[in-house]
Amino acid sequence: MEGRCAVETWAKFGNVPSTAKVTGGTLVFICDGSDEVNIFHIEEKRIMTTLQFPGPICYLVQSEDKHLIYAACESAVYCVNIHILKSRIPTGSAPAPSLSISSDWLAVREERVCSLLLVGSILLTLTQKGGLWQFTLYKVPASVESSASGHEKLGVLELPVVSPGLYEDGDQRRTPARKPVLNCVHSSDAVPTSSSSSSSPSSPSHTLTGDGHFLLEPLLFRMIFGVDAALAKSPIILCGLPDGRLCFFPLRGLPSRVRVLHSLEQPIVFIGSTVAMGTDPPLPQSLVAVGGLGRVVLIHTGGTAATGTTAALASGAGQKPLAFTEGCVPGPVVCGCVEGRRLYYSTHSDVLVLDLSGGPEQQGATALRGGEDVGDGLPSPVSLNVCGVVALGRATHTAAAAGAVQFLALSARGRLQSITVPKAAAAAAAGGGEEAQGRELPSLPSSQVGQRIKDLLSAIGDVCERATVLKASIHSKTEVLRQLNQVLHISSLLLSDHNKEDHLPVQKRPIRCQTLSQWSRVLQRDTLNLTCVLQNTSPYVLEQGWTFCVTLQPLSHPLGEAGEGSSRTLSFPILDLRPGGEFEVSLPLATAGDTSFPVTVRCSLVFMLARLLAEEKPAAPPAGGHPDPSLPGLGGGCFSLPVDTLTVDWLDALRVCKPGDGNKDGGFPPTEGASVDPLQAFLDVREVVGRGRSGDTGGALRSKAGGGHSACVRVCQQSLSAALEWAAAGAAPRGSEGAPSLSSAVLDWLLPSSGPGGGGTSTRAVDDAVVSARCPGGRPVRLTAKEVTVGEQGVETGGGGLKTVEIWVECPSMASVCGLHHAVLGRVQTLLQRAPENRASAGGIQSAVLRQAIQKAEAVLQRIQESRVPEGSGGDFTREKMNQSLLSIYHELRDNPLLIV
Amino acid sequence: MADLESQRSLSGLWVLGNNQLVDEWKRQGVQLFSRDPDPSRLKQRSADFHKLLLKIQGVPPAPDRSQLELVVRFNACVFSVAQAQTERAQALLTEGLHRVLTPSALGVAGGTCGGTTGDPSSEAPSLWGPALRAVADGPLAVGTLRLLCLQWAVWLSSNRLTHIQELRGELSSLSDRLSALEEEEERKRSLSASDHEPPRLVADPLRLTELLDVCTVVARGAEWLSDGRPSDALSELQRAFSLPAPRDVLAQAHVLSGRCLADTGRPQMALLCFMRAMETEPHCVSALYHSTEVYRQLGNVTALVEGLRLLNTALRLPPPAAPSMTAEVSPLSAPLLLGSPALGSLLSAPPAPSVQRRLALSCVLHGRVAEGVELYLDLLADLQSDPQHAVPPGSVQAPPPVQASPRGAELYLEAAAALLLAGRGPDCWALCDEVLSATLDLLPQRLTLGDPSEDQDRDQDRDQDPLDVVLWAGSAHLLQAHCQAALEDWKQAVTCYTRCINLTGKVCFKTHGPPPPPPSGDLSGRPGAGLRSLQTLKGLSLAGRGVCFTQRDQLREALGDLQLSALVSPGGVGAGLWLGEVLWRLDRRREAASCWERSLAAESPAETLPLYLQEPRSSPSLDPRVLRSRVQSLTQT
Repeated sequence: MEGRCAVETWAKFGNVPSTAKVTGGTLVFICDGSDEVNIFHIEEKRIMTTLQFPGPICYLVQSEDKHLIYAACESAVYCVNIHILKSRIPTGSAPAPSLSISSDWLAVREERVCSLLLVGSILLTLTQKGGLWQFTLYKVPASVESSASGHEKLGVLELPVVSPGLYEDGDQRRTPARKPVLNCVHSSDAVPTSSSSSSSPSSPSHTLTGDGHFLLEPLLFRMIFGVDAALAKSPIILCGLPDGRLCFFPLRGLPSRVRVLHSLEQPIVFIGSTVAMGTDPPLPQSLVAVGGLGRVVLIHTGGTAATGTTAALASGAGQKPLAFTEGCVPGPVVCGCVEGRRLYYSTHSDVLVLDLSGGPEQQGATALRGGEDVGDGLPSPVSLNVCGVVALGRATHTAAAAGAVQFLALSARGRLQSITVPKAAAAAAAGGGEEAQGRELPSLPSSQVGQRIKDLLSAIGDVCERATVLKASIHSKTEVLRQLNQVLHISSLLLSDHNKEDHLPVQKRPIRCQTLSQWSRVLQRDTLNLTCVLQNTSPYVLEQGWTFCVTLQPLSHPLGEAGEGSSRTLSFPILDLRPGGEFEVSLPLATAGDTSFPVTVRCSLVFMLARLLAEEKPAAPPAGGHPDPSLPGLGGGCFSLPVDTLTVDWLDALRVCKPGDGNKDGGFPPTEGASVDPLQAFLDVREVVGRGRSGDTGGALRSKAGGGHSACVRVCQQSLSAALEWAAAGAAPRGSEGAPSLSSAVLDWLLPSSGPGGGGTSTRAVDDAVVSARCPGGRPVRLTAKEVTVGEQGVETGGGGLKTVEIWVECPSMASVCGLHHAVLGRVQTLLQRAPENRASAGGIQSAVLRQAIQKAEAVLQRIQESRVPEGSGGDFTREKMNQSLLSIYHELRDNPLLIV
Repeated sequence: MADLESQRSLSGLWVLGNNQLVDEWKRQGVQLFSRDPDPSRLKQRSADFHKLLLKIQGVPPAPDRSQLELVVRFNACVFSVAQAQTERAQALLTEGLHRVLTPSALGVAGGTCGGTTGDPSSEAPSLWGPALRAVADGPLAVGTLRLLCLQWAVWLSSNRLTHIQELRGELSSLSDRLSALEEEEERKRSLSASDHEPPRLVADPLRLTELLDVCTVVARGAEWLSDGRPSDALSELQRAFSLPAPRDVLAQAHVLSGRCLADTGRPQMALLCFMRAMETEPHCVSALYHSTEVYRQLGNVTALVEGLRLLNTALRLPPPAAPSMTAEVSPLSAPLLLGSPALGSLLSAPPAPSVQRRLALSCVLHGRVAEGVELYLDLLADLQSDPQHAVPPGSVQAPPPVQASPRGAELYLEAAAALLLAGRGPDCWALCDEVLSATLDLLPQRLTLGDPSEDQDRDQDRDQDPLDVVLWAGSAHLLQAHCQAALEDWKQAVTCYTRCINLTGKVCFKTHGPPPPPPSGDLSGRPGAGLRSLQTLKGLSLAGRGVCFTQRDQLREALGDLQLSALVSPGGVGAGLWLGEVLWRLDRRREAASCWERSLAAESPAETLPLYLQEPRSSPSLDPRVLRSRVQSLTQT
């Protein structure tokens, strides 16, 4: 087959460890790591002889003229003259005779030489001694005839060993400790003269001199190794150390030291140089070093060479810089060789070809092929399907097949093979065209097809798995973003509502809260339940993560609870509140007997970012009714947006008696249950008796003969009706059936739960309406609204008497009266404030005076509150003092009747 | 009874083994020491003694065997020290000490040489006092003292002079006590008239003590000298001359004394010391080198050149054969013991190429141009040939001592300048061509330099400093232009000068301050030296072009160039004179006169510049006398 590379086995030895070396031309010297060196004659294709050395051979080099081989054994370096050996081999003997090398051949006595190099008449040995790599130079005597003595030591260069554990830690079992690689570079304008004759004439533009050293373009040579080395025409000794350093020193010239050129960070396996084949002018060459784990570095002049991770060593601006192109090929690389612009390397399981050409047209080709690059700047290698190669000899072009490349290889099973790579396969590596991939590449052997398919399938599986994970992650992120978007919209809505000076009316807000308080009876106890309804009329959804928080804060504390935190916060997680939906929560506000009114109800929406971002482990939502401790702090990624602030006052807490209820106690609803204790009842009676004597009809707050106290609020009828938008004044005759009077409207407004349907107004007189109810303490309360004309108040009015509405609060309990009075005042105030200011015509001065009066009354109320506070704290204030205070207020109120206009 | 007999015979066997090893070593030693000491033999011997020591330690103790053990330990330790394995030797010694201190432990099986706990070297000085007291004058005393002797050697070779100082008392009396004990032992042995052969030692402790004593003195002297206490060092070194010492150590002591004297400002006495060193040891290269340094300071050119020539010859010779061995071969030698870095840097001489270059430079600068040229050419030939003792073993890892070795390109340019001086223009041209061919395609398009003071942390041995490349290429152009000017080919010379000017123009300075100061001081190895060289190069090339223009009667151009040159690199004598000449010809005589007066009064700073950046002597010059007469005529009128 045309595209296949041919492998021909020439000889077989024993098993070969992974450190072996093949060297030579016609005579090939094979060193398999034992103490034997086999000499193989290529043309005769037979093993000529075997040299038996005194110890295992670590390294083998051959002299330029092929007469000498140097072998590094454990404790010495031997030098063997082939001519003399040849004379000792009997010609034509079929079994290869073995020659033992005695210590007569000992050249240099040096221990543990890792690597050898022969440059001209200089022998270089590399040893590791203590913490140093030692390069020792020896002069090879002019004539090595019988004994190899007379190698004169010329000098030693040293380089400290860096982190010897670098390459020994992880992979020592898999790959044995590498030996340093030594090679020699000449500038191509300073080629040693003696090498020209011996180099193979079949390679048109070889980069190698006769002894395996390689050449570099002068410019690149000077850029890498310096002007001095170029001037001295010195060969450069390049050394790739197992720690990955690529270091060099000039052989000639002034005394120098070993300098580090680059570090591959993995054991260097091969150093060579590339050249573009057969082009005129020649394309730039590059220095290539290959690491044991597959990293390849190309050192070339920048600008024209391949791109990639090019670390430019710009010597100055403008000049073509020295560039290092690094890339990775699938490793591990066992051995390699370069032929022309191609790197052949063995991974033990395969031999691959990598095209290293860095010419501009190749770059274009790479760009056209697209996506085929391995690593950064390198194309993908092409397999030759030759397995188990542990050592590669030098590649040559064969004369037989034009363009074909032949090289010797030693397999792990001890076969000496000749691998001939046809031009097509090599071209496939270089061009990598689609048709070449399909047609000319050798197909896989059937045994490997199954394995390959399995590998591919598992790779697809892996990719699919990773893709799923990524997709899920993207989805969740999108979801979070969407939610955040909603959250932002809602937040801006709420905040803009809040920040506006003129609040929108509650009904017009997109997100609002309404409350309703209701008495209910649970477990033999009466409870005032507050029902909050969160209405969402905005176009946005309140999703999981939002929490509806209701903070209850009594204005004053009931007795005995002053020391504790007076406010309660209850939070309710919202699951999903769609536009137009409602979220209703119900919470106990007070029990019967609890008189801590009014209560401020602050509704807010809290959003917790943490829950949004860590959705996989949702925090336990705070149980409804229990205050969530994390909320007030707003730390931990939650923020709170106020929705509404409402007040639950005495009026809301009243239990309105239905008309059908028993009315035995002067129209008051009966005390329900046994919640009122007898002592209290007794006191109540006493109070009633006591107050009854001091009854006065003229005051705003008085005790009625029927029992308890009463208070009155007078409101100007006109303004009240305007504020209530009570249109009955003109449309329907007052007091006519069917249309409620203003007084009943006022009561309806005050007590919506006693509305017309509820029949809260037990009595519908012409001018007044009465509602009986029970206050939270259980006392009966009567609210009466009357329309009265006031004229005798000494206030100058425009048209005689002023029509007013009197709202009477009557209750045996002083506290209840005060509270209800406050609540009614508060509501009237809010109502009038909110009403349109169209009553200026009624008389500005008068209204001003009246407002002043209201303020006085408020001050009085404030004093009432104050008088309650120290009592609650249990201080020294006696009840008597409080009573006095209240009495003074009472007097004051009586002296200053109130009229609200 | 039979058991005792067998043990006695066993110890006899070991004594025999020990003596055999010692004999074998001495026999080989005589042969081997004629060449390199053979590390593998040393190693083999060391292993043998260690093995024997382990054997002896494995048997329960007996008094005579303890002595034998100490002898074998001594022998093993000597080889460890000889292989520079100080840790191993120290471990052996510490172990021995422990065994001496706890007699019951003698004979306990096991105990490899590394078996001691803790850092053996740190606890060693404190251990010795109790150990020596414990043995007192007992049977183990002599063996322990021998070990102390080795301990001294270990400390000395690992440069632990403080430890030696701590045990000063014991060490100073060591020799006397040892000799007394040895005598007594000898007497006892003769009295007992036993036919048992005593275990032999591989080195004589008494001679070792003598060597150690003098080596310690020298090492201490070197330490103090490098610490900047030359007078203390001198008085210490004086002691060395009264001690018995090998010649090389004595020579080193002389050299060090000379260094001390030179440091304290007594150059003539220093020269005397160096001379004594050379009398003591003819191959004492460092004495030669340091005497040339003193001659250089004294300004004695003839002696300097002569000294450099001698030094060059000495360095080019193959290293001297090892000193002839006496019958007694000790594996411990003075160089092994004197391993301190201070001593190494004090006694080192620069490598041969560096010396030869200095010699050549001195020759050229001091009127022996032809000789200098030959030396330069030899040097260049050496550069291109394979190293022939160019790298003396072991000297590469130590940085060249006094100043950085010259770069190859600089050598080429210096040689070219020398050739130009010698009137060999074409050769100079060819050398410059080589430099240009190596540098031209490495030239940067543009080079921006920062403040030289900021560049101080720049890596000194960067091999490709772009400024260097510019300097080399520019200098090559300059030299070629000088060649053309010498041939009076003014047009070509202008071309070459212009190339050089254009090159220097590629470098711009980032500094905002004034331009760098004019070149002064030693130029080598200092940051900013390159910058000053560049300024000089610019000034010289502008001046050269100006001269060429003058010769071609293009006086306007000449005036511009010469004025620029004076601006860029003030202090150029030739440029100043020629500027005056141009002004004179332009009929601006007053200016010309003041210009000449300034220039004639100025001194040439050329000594510190590289050879190729000095003012050309080959270019056309003006006769100062004519100029003076012109000035006088002008002032009289």
